[in-house]
Parts: sequence; structure tokens; C-alpha cells
Amino acid sequence: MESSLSTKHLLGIKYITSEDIRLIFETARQFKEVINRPIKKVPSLRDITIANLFFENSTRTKLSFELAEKRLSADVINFSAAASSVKKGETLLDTVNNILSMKVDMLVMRHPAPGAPMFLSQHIDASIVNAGDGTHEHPTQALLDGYSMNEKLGDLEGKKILIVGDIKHSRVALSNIFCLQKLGATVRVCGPPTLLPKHIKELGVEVSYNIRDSLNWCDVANILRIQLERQDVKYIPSLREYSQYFGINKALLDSLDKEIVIMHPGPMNRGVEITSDVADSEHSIILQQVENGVAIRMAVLFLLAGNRS
Amino acid sequence: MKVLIKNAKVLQQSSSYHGDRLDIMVENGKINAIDSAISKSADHIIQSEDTHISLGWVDIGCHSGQPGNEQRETLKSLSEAGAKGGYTHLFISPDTQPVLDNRMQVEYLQRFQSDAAVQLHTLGALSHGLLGKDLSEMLDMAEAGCKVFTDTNRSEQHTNLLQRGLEYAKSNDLCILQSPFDPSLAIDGHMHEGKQSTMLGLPGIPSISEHQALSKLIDLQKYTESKLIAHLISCKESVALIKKAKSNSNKISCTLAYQNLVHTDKALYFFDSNFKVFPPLRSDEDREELKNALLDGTIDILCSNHTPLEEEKKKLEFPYADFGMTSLEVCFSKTLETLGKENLDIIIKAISNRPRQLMGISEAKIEIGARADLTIFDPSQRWTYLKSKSLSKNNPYFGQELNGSVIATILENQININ
Repeated sequence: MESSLSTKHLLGIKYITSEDIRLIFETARQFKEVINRPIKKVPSLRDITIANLFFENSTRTKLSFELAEKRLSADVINFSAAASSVKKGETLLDTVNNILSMKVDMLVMRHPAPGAPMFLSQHIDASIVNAGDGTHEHPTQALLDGYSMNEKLGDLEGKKILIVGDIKHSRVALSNIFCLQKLGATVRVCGPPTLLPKHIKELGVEVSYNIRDSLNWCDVANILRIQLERQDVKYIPSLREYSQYFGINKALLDSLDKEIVIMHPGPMNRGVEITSDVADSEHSIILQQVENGVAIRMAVLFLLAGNRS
Repeated sequence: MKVLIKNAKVLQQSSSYHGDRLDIMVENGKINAIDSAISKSADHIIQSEDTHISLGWVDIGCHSGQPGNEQRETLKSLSEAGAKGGYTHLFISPDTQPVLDNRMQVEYLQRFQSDAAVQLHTLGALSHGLLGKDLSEMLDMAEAGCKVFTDTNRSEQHTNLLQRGLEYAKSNDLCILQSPFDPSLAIDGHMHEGKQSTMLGLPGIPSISEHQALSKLIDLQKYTESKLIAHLISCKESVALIKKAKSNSNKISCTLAYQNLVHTDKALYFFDSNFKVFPPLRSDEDREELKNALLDGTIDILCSNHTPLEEEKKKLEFPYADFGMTSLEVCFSKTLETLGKENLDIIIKAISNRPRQLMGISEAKIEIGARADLTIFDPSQRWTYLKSKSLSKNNPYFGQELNGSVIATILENQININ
């Protein structure tokens, strides 16, 4: 296995190799051991300053990154757009260059515009980790999802992974597709046609509008949140109807011929895409995903720090 | 002033000199000698390894900053960029501020004179203020010299206005030039809808937002029997529609932006906003169809789609960047690179002869006694694109070595030598 990543930034899963993914998993495995010890902190990123730039709201991703950074002994500063000069009309590039002048080494950025981290990477020197850019990618989420599946099922080669819900507005879906394909899994997406991108098949995924059939097909179902905040026009008539025809509930799971693993990147709309008796059941690995998120982010930050020029 | 062009291959299919290599003397704005070898003295002697000469080139729908956005482009910088790119006639899109929608604006543009050998023409706004509601005073503008009217890509929502515009245009044999686009089918769209937009998570501008609007435009043309130029078609479905429409009517023609001939949506893989243009760069298949359609004459005119934008509008996160690329200076070279020298005749037809016919530019010829309206170029010469005459720098080609260079343009007494 390679000992370093092929890239200086993590901008999207499509821009990294399957070797990169395996290296991140292996490194995360070691960090997961670390964070389960009584002393959870390692000095790996001492003297490295990381800025978390969140131009869009986030709870778990932000906390997870901050925790990962602190476990690695990095110095951390936080920035959120609500309390910033962005509202006064400053450009992203100016904002970031100002922060970098304060001798920041790495950036973790969430931004509403697809491609914003890529744009930044073309104009600045610091390493960038994309923590979600609009409807483009959310690479660390896909990595922690892939890692969690890997933990549960072993090698993902030939495994059948279903992604359910609002694929059109989901950066998680896109990053998951790229990640799982690079690990050899077969991916199917399922949801109402208006929430599936018209050309999604061209990415090499299967497409279905039938939830029962799809659940029966898969080894893992990754249930996405309905992103009402990213829908300018209504793509589905009502949440009630969505829940009725695409929501995952216990009765539906019980009626399957097999047991499957249930995942959700959070935050969940309980009672909409997933019912509580599924989210809290033994099939669900939702909380393991969150735990793995910290280890994955430690691995990403650690490996990228080693690749800084 | 005397200008002697040495050993130039003449490219003008209607001329008896077509295909010949000749010396041409221009004196006091007119061609006064054409011979296999002219040995008279001249103020300027123009020659290159593989000199070619054609009638001056014409660009339709290029965007000017002036009036309103002079930081992007002035009429002077636009003319100079045009001359550098080989053009002697530029038809300026009416979407300036204020909009070019009345006689005064047409005359304002006509009064402008630069040293560049370029004549500026107005594409008149079809509707007042480009609002798609009331017809502009087309006859009054026509009297001032404006023969072609457009609501750019804005008025597809206003079917009724288009119908009235097409009908009204008939009274003076005017022509309507319209970009087919239905924005309601491309909400928040930033690039062609396809595999690439899906991979980039960007909302798409599907081909149907164009060809559905084109279909309507063609129906309206059929109903009104007016002259229509479908401007900047970009997808394979539009090519099929134009082909069919042309078999039914000789009053329909269409244009293509060279970007859609040269690039595809794959250019956007790294979110380079320089490639964010409108109409959007489409798929390989679309590009292939457009290329065939240009070669077989289905597409009449090749345009630069020159859209100058200041850095503040382009150096941004991709979705926030404006659409457009500066292109007058490179349109010919990039096209030549794509189509090859073997198709030079077709390229010249699409940037000179056809637009001259369709836009009603007063007749020019490569004959003794004809007024000089000429572009001299060398399709074999390579050049490096280092500096632009345009005030804006929004294109991806700086520093590139390009194929085929423009040597000079002559418009009567004005000469521009690169």
C-alpha cells in the first residue's frame, strides 16, 4: 500500500484514487484504536493550524472535524459565515486569503457553491478539505460511510449498496457513488423520478423507483435526508406521500426475504424517510457512522498534512 | 495610401480569382490592381509564407461593454479586438445599458469611429428595453441602418411578442435573429445537463430548453413567413430541427458559437469558470453533430459569441460566475484547429460570405475597382496568444500557441496590421 496520498487536497472522491481510499481506511483504523484508548490524543499535528470555514450550517460535520483536529493536537480556529464579513460583500478568495495571512496551514471548508473548494485550491497554497460543497461532493461523509460498511461487511467488492431518497440535491449520494464504485461495489439509487438526476445512469449506477424491490436487492441501504432547503421548486407533492411510498419502516424491513444494514448520514427526519423503530434497531449502524467519522477525518487531516508542500 | 498584398491565395467562391495566388494592390480604399506579380511601390507591403485573402470577416452578436459597462469593453477596444481577430464588421448585441432599442442608439453606434478597420453595426432590440412586451420602433431604426432585430435569448417566454415582431419585420424585409431558450426548463442551470453536470452536482441547462424553444420559433416563422436566423444553436436536436425547417423554407438560417464547435462540457471538470458560456458547452455527440452541420451547410454562420466580463464577474465560485468568454481574437484560430486547413473554404464561408448575405452588408468583391473590405491571413502560421486588445481577459487561451494567424484587415481607407 502507498504511504502517502496522491493529492494535496481532498476536494472530492472523484479526484482521488482507490489506493488513496484504502490508505485513508487503514489510517483511520489506527486512529479508531487511538480514540478508544483512555488517552485519546496524539501529537501528530502539533504546530499545525487548521481553520474550519463553514459558509453553510452544520452540526455533526463541524463537531466531528473539530474533534478530529483536537485529537491530533492541531490548533483550531472556527469561522462561520453568519458572523463574518461575507455578509458585507467580501469575496471568498479575500476572506480566505485574510485567514491564511494569519499563518493557517490547512482549511476545512463547507460552502453552498458546488466547486468552491476546487476554485480555492486553484488560487491558494494551503491544503483544503471539502466538508461539503453544495450539491457536489461531501468526501469525508462518503469515506466514513464506506469505512463503516467495510467494517460491517468486509471487502465491498461485489456488494450491493442502495442509496435511497433525494439523489438530485445530495452531495452525499454523489460522493458515495464515486467511493463505492472505486471500492468495487454495485450501487443502485432509488427514489421518486423527480429526485433522481436524469443522467445518473451514466455514472454506472442502477436506477429504481421501487423501494421494496430495491431493499430486497441490496446488502446495505443508505437512507438520505429529504433536502427541502435545497428545493426551490417542489419535486414531490408532500412529505406524507414520500414517507408512504419511499420511507423505510419496520413493517417494510420485516417483510423482506433478508436482513440488510441501514445507514443514514444524518440529520434524520424521523417519520419521513426513516421511522424511529428502524433508526434505532439492530439493523442500523447510524451511530457507528458518527464514531467512524472522527477517525476518518483524523486520517484525512493527518495524511494531507504529510503531503503539504 | 497604397497597400500591396503579395502572393495571396484568393478565397472567394463567387470570384473568378478563387483559388489563385495573386498580388493585390489597394489604393485609396479600392482594389486597383490584381495580377500574378505587381512590382509597384506601396506604403505597406503585406506578405507571409502562406498568405490568404478573403472578403472581410463578420461577427454577429458580439457583446460590447459600452454603453453602460465600459470597464468590460469600450467600442474602441471591441473594434481593436475585432480587427485583431480578422473582422471588418461587428454586429453588436443590443443588451447594453441602455438597451439598443431606438434610432438614437443606432446612430450613437454609427457615429463611433475608431482607427481600427472595423465597421460597427447595431443588432436592434426587438422589444423596448428587451423586456419582451412592446415592439421597439423597428422601422425608424431600420431607416438608420439597422436591419436585424433580436431579443437575444430573453423573449422565448413572450411568444406573442415574437409573433408580432416577426410579422412587423415583413413590412421592410427585416430579419429577426433569436436565440432559442426556455429558461423555465433550465432553472438555476450552470452548464449542459448530462453526465458531466451530474458528476459535478451542478444544476443543468438541458438541451430541451433550447430545442423546444427552437421548435416554437420555427413554427412562428412558418406562420408569419418572415426571415428568421436561429442564433447560437448548440445541441444535436436543434440541428435536426433546422435541417427540416430549411427543407420547407428558404427564410430560415442559423448560427453557431465557435465554443460549441471546439469544446465540450468535459472542459468544466475542474470548475473552470472561463468555460462557463451560454449556450453551454454540450456533449461530444452534440459537438460532432454541430461540426457536421457546419460542414454540410446546415449551419450558415459561425460566431465568436464574444462576451467580455471583468475579473470580478469571473474569478468566483463557479455558480456565481457570469456566463461568457472573450473570443474575437481567437475564434478563427480555434475553429481552424478543430476543422483543419482542408475546410478553410467552409470556415471563410461561415465567417464572411454567409453572414454578409444574411445580414445585408453592402456588396464587396475581390475585383478590380471594388471597395476594399478584406481580411488577409496565414492559416499555416502559428502564434502565441499573449496579449489581448479587449479590456477583459476572460478566456482560457492565454499563453497558448494557436494555429492560423490574421495578418491584416483593410476596410476602405483604414488598415489594421497585426
